[in-house]
Amino acid sequence: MHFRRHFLLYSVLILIVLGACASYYRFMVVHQYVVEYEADCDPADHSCFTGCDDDACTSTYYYALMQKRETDINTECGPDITDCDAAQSCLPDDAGCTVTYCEAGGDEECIGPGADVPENNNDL
Amino acid sequence: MICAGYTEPLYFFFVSDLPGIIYYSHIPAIIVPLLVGIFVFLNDRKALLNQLLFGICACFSLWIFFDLITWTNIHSNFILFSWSFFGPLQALIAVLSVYFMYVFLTKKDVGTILKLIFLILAGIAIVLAPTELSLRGFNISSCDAFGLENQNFQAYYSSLGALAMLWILGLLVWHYRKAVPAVKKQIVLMGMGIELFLFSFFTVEFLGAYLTTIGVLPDSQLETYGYFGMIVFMVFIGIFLVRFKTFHASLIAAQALVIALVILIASEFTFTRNATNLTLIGITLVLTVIIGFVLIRSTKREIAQREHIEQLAKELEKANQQQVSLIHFITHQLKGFVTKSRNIFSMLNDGDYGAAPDTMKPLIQEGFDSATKGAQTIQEILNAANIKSGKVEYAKAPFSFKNLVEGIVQNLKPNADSKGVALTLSVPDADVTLVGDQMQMENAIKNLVDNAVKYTPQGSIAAALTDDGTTIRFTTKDTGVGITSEDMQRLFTEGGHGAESTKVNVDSTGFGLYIVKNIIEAHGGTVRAESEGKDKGSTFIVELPAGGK
Repeated sequence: MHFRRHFLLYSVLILIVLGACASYYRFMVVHQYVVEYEADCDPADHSCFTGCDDDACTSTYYYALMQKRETDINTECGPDITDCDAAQSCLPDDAGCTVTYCEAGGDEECIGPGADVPENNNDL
Repeated sequence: MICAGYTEPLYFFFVSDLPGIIYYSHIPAIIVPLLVGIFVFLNDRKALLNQLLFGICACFSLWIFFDLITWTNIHSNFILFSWSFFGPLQALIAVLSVYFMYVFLTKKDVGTILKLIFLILAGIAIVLAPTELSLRGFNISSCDAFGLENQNFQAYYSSLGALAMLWILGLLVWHYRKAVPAVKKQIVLMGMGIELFLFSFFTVEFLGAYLTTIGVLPDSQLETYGYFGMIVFMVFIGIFLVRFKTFHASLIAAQALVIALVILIASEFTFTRNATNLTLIGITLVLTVIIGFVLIRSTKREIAQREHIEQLAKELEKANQQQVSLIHFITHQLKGFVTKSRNIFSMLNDGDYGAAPDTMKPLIQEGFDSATKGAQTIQEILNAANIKSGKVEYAKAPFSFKNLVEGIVQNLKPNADSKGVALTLSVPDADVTLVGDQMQMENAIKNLVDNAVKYTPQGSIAAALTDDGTTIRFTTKDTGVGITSEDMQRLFTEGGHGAESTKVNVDSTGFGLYIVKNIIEAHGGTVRAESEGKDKGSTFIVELPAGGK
């Protein structure tokens, strides 16, 4: 009778505890998720996204969207990918690694092969 | 993984370059609902309404807490773990809000089928949250998961908020139509509070997340403005706590005010960086706490005194009721004895048991007079007691008020003549009809004329009756003892005879004019007295609506 009256509470609590454990296991223990970041992109070779270095957009940089499994990139670069060359491309051992380049016709501004490169681009 | 270029938080939360609005919106939004929820829950743990409010508050505070982690932390695993709770908590807030309103409006628990529906709606969000169907990954460039959260999942838990708003709106309309006026006010207040909260939280959160995902906004700072809806809801809950005692919790307005002030002042710490400002806020906070403590203590003391006085007043009222009953009982019994004595004296006087010796006759007459006065006095007290307890019923019918007045003056004229007082009456030629209780009205007018005779040792009494079509006016103007300003204050009150009246009329009960006033007012009229003072005579004026009411 007690459980019947409170079955909603008990069911929700059990689900939350199980869900929290599963989340903890996935994100904190096995790190089973994808990491997305802006990888270097050369407009001379690929169609690149354009990003701003500051709010006023006084200088720009070009990037491609790279996705790698957290476990792979952590092995290759450690927790910080800054200045890690392995993060800039898909390596043979990377499973499910993808690079997304800018597609013309979308919302993003693209800089493609053969396009003029602004003089204030510091990243190239 | 860590987000390069973002500052590592101090003590897990504190980042110096984070916009002040983040802390200002998050910290009060975590603390206020949690405090209110715990306070309500602890006041009555078994009440379902309290449990549900606690559930909503706890879920909301947790949501804000996890949101603050996503704002301040730079570790992808921490952020994603926190992020995975957003969907389940929003689903729970939506479901619990509907459940809460059901219980608030019906005052009972919902059925098993509805509970099952709630479980399925929230369960889907909870079960999917740790999977790839909810979150696929993390963007370390923008340090969030907006672009990697499954949009169908996001739409599911956001639409639960919209569903809850509509569901609650339907419930509110349905119950408002059937509710009594006093409850309608509560329905409107609670409905406004919870709808405002759900709208601001779900809509602004969805907009903030959506606009950030599609790249219109650089971050989801917009959603922080939606949290203030919860603070507004908590203010409404505060009103229910103070005004309606809805959650069986005794919170006084002063406590609520001081707590709100302290939280408001303390929240200024979250966005102030300047050392001088921090010091000033600190001093203000300390002073507010001290003054608030004194205010609460003195208010509590005043409330305790007021409750004590109210309790005494109730006891006094009860004692008065018992006294009235006792007086009624005693006078009723006494009236029987006195009436019996009067009848015996009457029979002796009439010679029913043979002629009484001449020496005995004055004694028998005195006994008869005394018993008659006694019976009249007891009757007066009984009448006053009946009027006070509301037992008097007025059988209203049209009657000639002119005849009634003429009859009374004629009956009392011998008394006035015996004192050498001239009693005159002026009446209009046409009949004056009044709709009322003839017997009660006779009692009232007789009382006034009799008073005039009793309190006029010498001189004259001029009674007059007029009717101008809208008002019937009866006046007695005498040259008697008059009324002092002190006696005038309590002239028509219960037992309110003046100091002078007892000198002239030792048998005065003080109930006569009280009875007169009640009878006249029961007929939609007024009675008042005018006098220039002691020994300057007095005038009593009765005004009644012509035709009666």
